[in-house]
Amino acid sequence: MASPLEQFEIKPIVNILIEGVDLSFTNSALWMVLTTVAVYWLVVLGTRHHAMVPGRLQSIVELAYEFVANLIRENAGKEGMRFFPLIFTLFMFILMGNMLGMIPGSFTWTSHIIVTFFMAICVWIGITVYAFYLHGVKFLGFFMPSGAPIVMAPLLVPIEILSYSVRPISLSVRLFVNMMAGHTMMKVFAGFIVAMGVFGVAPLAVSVALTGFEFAVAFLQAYIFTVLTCIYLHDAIHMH
Amino acid sequence: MPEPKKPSGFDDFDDRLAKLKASRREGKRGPDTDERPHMDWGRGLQAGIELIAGVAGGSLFGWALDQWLETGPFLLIGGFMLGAAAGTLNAIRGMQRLMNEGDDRPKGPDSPD
Repeated sequence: MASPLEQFEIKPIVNILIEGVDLSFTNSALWMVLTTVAVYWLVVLGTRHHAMVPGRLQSIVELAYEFVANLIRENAGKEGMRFFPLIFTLFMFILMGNMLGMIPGSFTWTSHIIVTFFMAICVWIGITVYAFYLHGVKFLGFFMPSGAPIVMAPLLVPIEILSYSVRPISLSVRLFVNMMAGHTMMKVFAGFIVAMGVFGVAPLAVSVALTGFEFAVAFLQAYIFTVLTCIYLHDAIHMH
Repeated sequence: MPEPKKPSGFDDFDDRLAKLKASRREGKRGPDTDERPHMDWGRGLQAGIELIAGVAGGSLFGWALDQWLETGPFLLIGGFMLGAAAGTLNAIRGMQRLMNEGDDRPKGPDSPD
C-alpha cells in the first residue's frame, strides 16, 4: 500500500541549480503555474463576450466577482474595495489550487506550509505597511485597547502586538492543516478499500463521503483565507 | 445560453437586480443571499489553531530574542506566556466574530458591546 503521505512529496521536474541554490522547477511549481493558467483562462474566456445575458462561463466569473465584492464590502468596508484586484486574485488562486488538488494524481500545493505561509506573510506585511501609510504613527494606538487603564499598558501592549504578529501563522496554518489532513484522510480510507477485500465497501462509502466533504473544505478554506484577509484589512483601515 | 421558454428566469433576474440596486442605494452590503458557509465543526478547529499559533509564535519570538540577547531561558518563558495570552485573545475574538456574523458590522469585529 502506498503511503498516504506520498502525495505531498516534492519532485523536481527540471533541475535548475544556480550557484548552489536549488531553483528546480518542481511538481508544486508546475501545479501553481497550471492554477494561474486556469484562473486566467476562466476569467479571460468568461469575460470575452460581454453578453448582457451571461453564458455559463460568464456566469461563473460574475458569480465569483459578486461573491468577492460582497465579501470585501461586508468585512472591510467600502474603502477596502481599493484592494479588490488583490483579494480577488488571492481568492481565485487559492480556490483554483484547492480544486485542482482534487483531481486524482494532481498535486495540492496549498497543503504545503511554506506556500501558504508565504502568501500569508505577504498579505500581512502589505496590510501593515498600508496601515502605517494610512495612519502614520497613530496606528500604534491600535495596540492599546481603548478604555483600558494606562497602568495595564506594559502587559496589554505586548499581548496585542503578539496577537497581531501571529496572524500570518494562524492564517497559513489553517489552510495548510485543513488541506493536508483532508487529503491524507482520503488516501488512508482509499488504502483501506483494497486492504479489506470484500469489506472494503465500508471504507468506500466513507471515501465517497470524504470526497464531497473535501470539495466543501476546498471552497471553505479559500473563503476563510479571503475573509480573514478582509478583516485584517478592516483593522488596518478603521483601526479597531 | 438563455432558455427562451423560461420567462421566470428573467423574473428572478429582475428581482435580484432590484435587490442589488436597493442595497446600492442604501450603501450597505449586497442582497441577503445566505451564501456564507456555516459549519460548526470548523469553529472549534479555528479556535484551536489560533491558540496553537499564539503559543508557537510567542515561544518562537521569545526563543529568538534569547538567542540574540543571550538571556537564558527567561524570554522564552515570557514569550510562551504572552503567546498563550495572545492566542487566547485571538481565539476569543475569532469566536466573537463568528457569533455576530449574521449582523451588519457597524463596529470592529471585537468590540465588546
